[in-house]
Amino acid sequence: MACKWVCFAFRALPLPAWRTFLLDRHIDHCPRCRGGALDDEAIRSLGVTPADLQNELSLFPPAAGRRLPRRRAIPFDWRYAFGALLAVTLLGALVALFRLTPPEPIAQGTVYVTEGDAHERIFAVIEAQIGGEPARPILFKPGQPGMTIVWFEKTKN
Amino acid sequence: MDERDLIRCAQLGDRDAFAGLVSGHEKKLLALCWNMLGEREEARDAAQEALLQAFENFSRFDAGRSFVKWLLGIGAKRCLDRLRRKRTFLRIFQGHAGEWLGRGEPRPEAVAGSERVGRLLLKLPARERAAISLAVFEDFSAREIAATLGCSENTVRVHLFNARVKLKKEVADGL
Repeated sequence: MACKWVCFAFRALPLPAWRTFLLDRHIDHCPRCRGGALDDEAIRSLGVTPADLQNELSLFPPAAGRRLPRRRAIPFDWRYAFGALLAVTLLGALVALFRLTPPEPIAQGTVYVTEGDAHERIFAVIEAQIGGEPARPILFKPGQPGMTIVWFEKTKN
Repeated sequence: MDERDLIRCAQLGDRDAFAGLVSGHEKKLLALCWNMLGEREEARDAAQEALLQAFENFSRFDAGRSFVKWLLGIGAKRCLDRLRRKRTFLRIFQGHAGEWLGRGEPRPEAVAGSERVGRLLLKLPARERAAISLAVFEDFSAREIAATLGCSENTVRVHLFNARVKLKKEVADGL
């Protein structure tokens, strides 16, 4: 019964390491399990052995004139080399440009808004900075009540 | 000259020394290729390729290793390459392969040799056949087979057991 389960597990387990564990722990020591496998002597009788090949001609002398088929090498071409160099240079330049460009400064500011309904509310910009320097605030009031659009511009020196 | 001297001379490019070195092992190599490929002519081609490859790369051979096992390892790899190419060919040209290869009938001279040989071994998958050929016919250890086939020792042991079980079934069915 145990052999049946071991054989089932041997077939079902996916990893060779797990199957080898079963070989070590059970199959190699179990006469019943080993009986399901052909022994070396019987396998030898199924194949060719050097003793069967006494009349075969020598292999190396005729082989000496032959050459092994080699993999076809890709021919070197200056145009490809130049193209590859150009592509690498362009890529490098793009990367360098991207890394050297300073990030856009963050706009910061303080606004003051009074309490009240939309018509009475007072909106004032107390302070505005871009990248740590004073900036000019621009306020825009579209027709809709309660809406004020604010943006900042760098002050030109 | 003993084998060490032959190896030293062959590593310096002496073709005669290499021929002398392999002369005692050619039959072993051919038997391995025959067991793996199942056909005499193809086995001879594979064995010759293995000998050429061995000769061309002989300067890299480590004299501390067994020469015959190194040579048989090259032979096994050559046979696996051939089996892989054949499988790819048959997969792509499934419908026409029979016509081009003489409707799958073996050549008359091949029948005589391969009738007893290989018929059951050929039913095994290529890697199992390689493992069992190296282990049983050439006395390779699981570690040596693993190094030759480029897989783990555990995989080789599983291949060997599977091959033995399948062969037992085939033999029993054939009786």
